[in-house]
Amino acid sequence: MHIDAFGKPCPMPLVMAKKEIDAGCKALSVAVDNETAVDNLTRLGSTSGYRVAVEIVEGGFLVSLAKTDASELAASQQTPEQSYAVFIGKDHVGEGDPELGATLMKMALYTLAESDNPPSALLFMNSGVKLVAGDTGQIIESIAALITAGTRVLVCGACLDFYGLKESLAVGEVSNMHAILETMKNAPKVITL
Amino acid sequence: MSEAIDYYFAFDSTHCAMAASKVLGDEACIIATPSEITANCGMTIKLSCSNDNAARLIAADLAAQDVRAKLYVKAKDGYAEL
Repeated sequence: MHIDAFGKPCPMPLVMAKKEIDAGCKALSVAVDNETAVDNLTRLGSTSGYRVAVEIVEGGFLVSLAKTDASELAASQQTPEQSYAVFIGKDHVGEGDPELGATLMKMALYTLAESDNPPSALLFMNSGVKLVAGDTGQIIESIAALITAGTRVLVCGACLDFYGLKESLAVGEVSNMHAILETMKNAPKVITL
Repeated sequence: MSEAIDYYFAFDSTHCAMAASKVLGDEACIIATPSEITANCGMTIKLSCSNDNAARLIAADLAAQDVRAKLYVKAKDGYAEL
């Protein structure tokens, strides 16, 4: 599969590639005309289990993604570059004024979404699940942008159930203690908000 | 029809930023003040407006409620104050 994304503004090349990856495409080449798109596609490939190669072509770059087999994937996951996970165990940042804490959480997620190096995973537990099952547009948009950039979003199903939010999940995938702890164990660095 | 532009409202205080966020509702995106913008407070509101005048009207409306902000737009080399 070849995608000609010359002249497409960010994040269109990423969105186009993600669509093919989600459809199960095993080999994909994307022609882009800027380095930001190369970086985004490289990150998307790495976090989705694809081997990534970049070659310079006339007017831009050709990014090739090839699905790795299980053993290659396991090896690559042992040495991810600059990879980190973010654990969110409450619906606010820090302790003190609740309104300030909620505002800081909005800002933190927006800042992560704007980052050149987004986390490999966002992990939500306890009252943190209210963020992904709430109606705060800014938070949902930031997390959706992170997913597009390749971040995996795992949400504790037991916590959603406890708060009566199972039907309200807006972004992310319902997960469990095993998968969340496994992701934390495999991440070189875990940041707790 | 012209496209909406993102305007950045940088506040004198955290309390002002949070008050403005309440007044402006869900359309307002509260973010950490971009490092290129000098402001007393670390919070800025990003809001899409149709043009400079619309953004200035909102800033004036906030100022009438004693919530003062400096207004910026993205420029080639950072942010430019309106």
